[in-house]
Amino acid sequence: MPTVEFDGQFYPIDANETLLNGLLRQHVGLPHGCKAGACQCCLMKVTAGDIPKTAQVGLKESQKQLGYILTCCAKPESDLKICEVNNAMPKFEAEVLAYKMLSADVLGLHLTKVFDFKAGQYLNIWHANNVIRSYSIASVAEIDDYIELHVKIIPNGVFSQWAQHHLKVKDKLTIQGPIGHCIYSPNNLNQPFLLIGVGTGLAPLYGILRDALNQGHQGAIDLIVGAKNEQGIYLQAELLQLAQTHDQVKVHFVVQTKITTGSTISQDDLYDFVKKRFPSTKHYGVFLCGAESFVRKMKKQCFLAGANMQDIHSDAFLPCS
Amino acid sequence: MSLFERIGGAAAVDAAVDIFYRKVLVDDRISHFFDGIDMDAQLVKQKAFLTMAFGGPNSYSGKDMRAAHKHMNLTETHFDAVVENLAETLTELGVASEDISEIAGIAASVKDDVLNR
Repeated sequence: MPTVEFDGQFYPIDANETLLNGLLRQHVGLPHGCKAGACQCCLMKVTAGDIPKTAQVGLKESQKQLGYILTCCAKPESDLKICEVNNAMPKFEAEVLAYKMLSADVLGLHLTKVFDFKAGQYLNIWHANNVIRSYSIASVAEIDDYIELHVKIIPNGVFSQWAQHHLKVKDKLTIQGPIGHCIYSPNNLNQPFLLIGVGTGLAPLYGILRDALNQGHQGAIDLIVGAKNEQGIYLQAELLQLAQTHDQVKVHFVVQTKITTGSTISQDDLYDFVKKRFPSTKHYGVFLCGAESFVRKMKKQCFLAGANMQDIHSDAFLPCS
Repeated sequence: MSLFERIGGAAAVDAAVDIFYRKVLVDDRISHFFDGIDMDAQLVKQKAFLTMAFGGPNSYSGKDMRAAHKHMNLTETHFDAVVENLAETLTELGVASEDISEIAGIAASVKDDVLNR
């Protein structure tokens, strides 16, 4: 009879009983809804043990990779440890290893790699007095020895202003993670990818791109970086270098207003640009990162152009007070 | 073999949902109901709806359908639009016409709940 550990307690599960029913029976108030694998309210994460067959029906590849399960569909065959998906993860002290302005308003930070992560995930920084800010991880755990963050400096940003004026190398930050499932999954190596990011939405995409290449992705990868103007474009040299050394990678920079006449940056509306170059996104894997309004609009556009929802991955940045 | 098994079970739901959802989003009669919603969350609901319509394991009850649509002031036109898009999706997927009729029948069975009548 398998035992499930949840929240520090151990619960035996009867043979042929679902994980959800077993815990409900023992008065553990697990969230749930339809009990039929459709509503996904019972989503939890397996942190130890073998994931039961049928426990991941309907989940995205990225969620499966991260060990998410539907407890209403899980029939454990051996011992398991589960937790809530966004549960209180432990916090770590990470040291600032490097500090560099990547553009006029983007600060690049390298922190000690205090936890493992998948490229594209994000973390919470716990700053003084209950100021918590989320930043996407731009590095790749398998390649880089550090956690890289791209911090947008915002005029009245509580954390970003402090970071710009006070944070320095060797200082410590309290971080918690990794969170999120906008990650690369190696389940379709030939799938063409469309990575679209606005502003510091580039951060997770930079990681996902290099992660895909590192894991042997074969399909064409088009990275489109959008910004208001040329000052908003950063990491241009690094991205052009990646495109040069990898035939399958193409990088596009698109800005709304442009002053210089160089050809590496296009002036266009981002949505029109994508529509013109990718009139059909059928069979594409799509990754969208940046402001919520952009993610929502581009997700709809790419979906209507043919990409399946299962293949659209996104990380929407929300503003903080 | 049950209807759900005949048309391909959960895999059929997966194959149908993107096609169905796309049709709904470009159907002027009903697309506005989906403005500004979280597409991923909505997809989960679409899958649950299709599972029910395909005779799958019971996910939505009439009560759920009523509560979910109550505040929308839906009319026959709206309901018919959804069933039409569903039928078109199934035709595109090559589902047998008798099965499409049966599925339309299941959808019709929650009409009063959806229209809050």
